[in-house]
Amino acid sequence: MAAPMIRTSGLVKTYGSQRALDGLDLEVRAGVVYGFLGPNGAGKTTTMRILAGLIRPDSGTVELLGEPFSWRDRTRLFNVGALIESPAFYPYLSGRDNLRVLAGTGAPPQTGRVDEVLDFVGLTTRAGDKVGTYSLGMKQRLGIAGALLNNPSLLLLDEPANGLDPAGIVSIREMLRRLAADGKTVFVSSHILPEIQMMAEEVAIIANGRLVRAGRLEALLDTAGAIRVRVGSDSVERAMAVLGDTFGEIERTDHGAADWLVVHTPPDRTAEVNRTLVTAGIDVVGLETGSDLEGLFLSLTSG
Amino acid sequence: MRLFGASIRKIVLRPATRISVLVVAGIFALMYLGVGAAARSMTSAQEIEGVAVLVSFPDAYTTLVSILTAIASFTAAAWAGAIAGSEWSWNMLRVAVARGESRAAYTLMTLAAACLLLLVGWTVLFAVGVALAAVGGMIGGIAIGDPTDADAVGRLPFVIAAGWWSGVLSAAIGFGGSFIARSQVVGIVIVVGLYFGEQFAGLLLPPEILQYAPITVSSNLPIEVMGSGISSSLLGPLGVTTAYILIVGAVAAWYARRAEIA
Repeated sequence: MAAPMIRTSGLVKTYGSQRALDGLDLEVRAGVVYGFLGPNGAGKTTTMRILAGLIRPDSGTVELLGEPFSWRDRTRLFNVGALIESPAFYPYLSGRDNLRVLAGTGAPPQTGRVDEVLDFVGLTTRAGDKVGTYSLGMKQRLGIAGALLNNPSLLLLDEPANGLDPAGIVSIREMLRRLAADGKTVFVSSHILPEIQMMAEEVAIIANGRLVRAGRLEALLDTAGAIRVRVGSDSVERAMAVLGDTFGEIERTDHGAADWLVVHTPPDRTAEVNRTLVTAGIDVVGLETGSDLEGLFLSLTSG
Repeated sequence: MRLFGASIRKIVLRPATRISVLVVAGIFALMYLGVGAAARSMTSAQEIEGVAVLVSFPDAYTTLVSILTAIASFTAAAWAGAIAGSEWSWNMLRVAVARGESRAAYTLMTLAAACLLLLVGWTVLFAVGVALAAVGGMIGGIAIGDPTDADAVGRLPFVIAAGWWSGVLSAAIGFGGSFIARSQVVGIVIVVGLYFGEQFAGLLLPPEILQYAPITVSSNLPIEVMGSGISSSLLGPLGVTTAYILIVGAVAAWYARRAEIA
């Protein structure tokens, strides 16, 4: 089995009295889009900064591209592309000139690579314009182009869809899918859960600087499934009791204008939920199924 | 060379680079043309003699060097400080480091590129000053003397080199201060503080000590070359100025190597 592209063990980082990372363990295998989730202040950007060699952890170890990594091992980053926080460019230079300046740092990219990556992110026609005139979405795409300059096998993208409109989000998502299809490992942090749900194969959820759940998204969603049921108002208590007997604890929520019951069970048991109620003589007025990454995220990261 | 070329590109295309040159050229224009215009109404020989020092060659070279050294030092410090500070404020150091670039090399190459461009700027401004001095003399009806004076012209390359080296120290201090403070303005504040601090220190310290203070030693360099030409007496000031530049560069590089980049 190939070595993981990223492995962290017991990563700790403190800023003054605040502990940003508190023993973070992560493992990202090669060739996947890996979603890195957590609420604000959970330690996502701190982790990204450590992986990009910008800051050093107080303790713990990092392996990058299968080998131990410290911030002094800068040449390891020649095969890593990073977009940490907001994209950074000289506003008075054109997109192309910015990439040329970037190409002067780190490992030398292949000849013609600047134009290749501009084409990949769809900025060829605006490449000669000053970056100061770019929209946020264009800057994000240029940031991804910069990260791709050296054709790296690992991409670290910190909230790449942050602040983008829906079209921009779709554009970034498509780009990341194409990169993953090319065999690159994409480690992407985000708080836009539906986005991660649509593109990641594996995810890690962190809170308070610690890993709280990691694994294949599909498997996590199986455990995070939720079925919402609406019954007549006179049957709510009885429905909760009947469903509770079979499916465990049932949650009552104000979902829209009416009371809904939430059964925390994988979506493939929807028919069974419906049958249970009908058998008990309770009319089902509404039924919604879905994998609830948001619910899982909130339950794991709250408190 | 690739990194140096990239550093040149990012600095030469920066609007502040052009603006800095234009500001100094504008000050020269105001000064020389204003002096020329004022000289038209002067009647006393003493007043005209005072103006002639500015516009009549070869003495005008010496005056220009003094003025350029003072003005260009502050401008160079502000300009280099802005370059260093923006590496933080625009997060470009972060991008370069994340690409695997050496922090120290990136910092030193940025400073080196600024220093090279300073030579271009110093030379251009010297030429502009010479032209404006001549124009000012003509406007004021004062004889511009002999700009081709062999002795003075022969010293010009050394004067330009010494003036540039003097500006390099100011630029390096501006760069280093702003880089370490992660602010575009701190560098110029330090240079202005040193300038006035050394003036004030002149009241307290003996000249044999003060002559090695950074602004004093570096700004005397081109003036001495213009006045006395190249001699072994320059070795001391040149060595001290160079030492200051190397120390500032080393401190900035050391800081870059250790800094946490948020």
